[in-house]
Amino acid sequence: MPSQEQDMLTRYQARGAMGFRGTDSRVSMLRQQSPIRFLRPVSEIGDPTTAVIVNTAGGVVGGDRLSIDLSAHEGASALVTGQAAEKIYRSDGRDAEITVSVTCHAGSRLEVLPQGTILFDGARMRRSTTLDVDRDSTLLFGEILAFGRAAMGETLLTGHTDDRIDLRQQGRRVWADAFRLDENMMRALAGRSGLNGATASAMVCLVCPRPADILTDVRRLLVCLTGDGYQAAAATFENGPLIVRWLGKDGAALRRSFGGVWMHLRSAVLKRPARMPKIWSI
Amino acid sequence: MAGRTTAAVTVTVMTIDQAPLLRLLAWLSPSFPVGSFAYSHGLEAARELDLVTDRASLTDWIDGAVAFGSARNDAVILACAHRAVIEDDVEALREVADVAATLFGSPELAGESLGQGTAFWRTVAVAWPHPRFERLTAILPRGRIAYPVAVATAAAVHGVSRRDTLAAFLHGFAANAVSAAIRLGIIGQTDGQIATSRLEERVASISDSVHDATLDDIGSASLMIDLLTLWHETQTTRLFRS
Repeated sequence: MPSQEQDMLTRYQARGAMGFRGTDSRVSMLRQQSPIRFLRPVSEIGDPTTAVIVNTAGGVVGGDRLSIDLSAHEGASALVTGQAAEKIYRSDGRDAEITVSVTCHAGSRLEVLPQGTILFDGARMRRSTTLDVDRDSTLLFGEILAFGRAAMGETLLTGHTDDRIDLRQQGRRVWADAFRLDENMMRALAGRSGLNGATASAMVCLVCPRPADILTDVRRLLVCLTGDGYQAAAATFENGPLIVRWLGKDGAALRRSFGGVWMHLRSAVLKRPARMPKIWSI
Repeated sequence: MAGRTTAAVTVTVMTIDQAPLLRLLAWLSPSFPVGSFAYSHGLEAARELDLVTDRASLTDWIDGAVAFGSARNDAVILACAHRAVIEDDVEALREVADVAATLFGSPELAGESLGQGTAFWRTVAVAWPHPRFERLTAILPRGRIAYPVAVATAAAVHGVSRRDTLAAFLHGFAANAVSAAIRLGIIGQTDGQIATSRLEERVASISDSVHDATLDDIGSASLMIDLLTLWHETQTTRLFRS
């Protein structure tokens, strides 16, 4: 029960920061405050320095303030992912505040692969993600959102979500995204121009020198726009990122499609193996 | 002599009184040359995929955009920009203009807003010249003025109230979508006006609710509009640019 889980959790104010430096991409900076932990598994063959973010509290409740800071310095390569989907529990009225800051210095190559975020009924989350990408660097960033615990037949009925992404390239604002579920939540979840009954959404943002070069390939992977259980589409912004979006009722199918696109992008753009990290398939 | 003076004064007062309304009507009319006829805001793709097929589904589509989606988000931006101009807060205007020029669910939605915003700005600057409007041009991102920022700035400079501008802007959005739906053969003329009349209440309530909005209120949940305008780029037959 969410309410019992919530009682067991204290409110946290924690920051985790990790930096990768040098051509060997060693971890040059590491700060972690409970409940945020960074695990350092041995990199899989072909993968760069790998870090796994863990929330040892097992989830986020109203009043929590978490911040994650990731930096790839000049020429560094890294893969950062999560241990499990982040659960945002029903709130007692307060917002959970999450701040994510990703910095890619010149010539760096960073992959930030999400496990996803599950919004429980009644969750209140304000998340702000800043992506700062310098010249000649590549950032592959994604997010997956689940609206309620679909596996348990739960849907969102109440709560509030503000999920903001700001992308800067060489210090200049180039793109932003602001997903918001407010008091018109029920309308938004059901509305045709809203979520149209979807229980999950996902997004990939690829920042690299010429993202349009890869667009045709990505679109070929997404031909099943009207596929079973989800819809997906991609485009590139002028002087901006490649964006892929998914929306659907079948979270598992959506996740498979997300994985397919991610594998292709990491292979074609980052020259990494065309597979997902083992931890992702768990 | 006295009578003529009175008549002249009356005329002057009426002109001052009604100038904001007349400007609003001109600027947000479908004939104002911003090219609004070229944008369906995702409806052309929604039609193709049978998501919007009749009056009820069209009304739901537009109502969602206004209640929780891209149109509400534009209204929040409009409210923030209008307030910044009224309060002569150049930094606040620059901030909202910067955010508005990058916050787009898809490249087509970016083209729709920036194309109309830039055309709107240019036309108002020439047809309704105003020194303050001209000065503000310098602080806004060149060639990347989002539509609600352009409308808000012109309205504030020319004395049109935030309340009226918001209502007219959201009505304009709804009316333009209805017009696109008619041209897409989704509904006929009369059904289009029935849809418009059914949307009045939503337009009015969202105009009210975003009147005092700040940048913290930015955001939308019209994920299907974002997704379908990404997909629309690859749609085989297209009449519209979004």
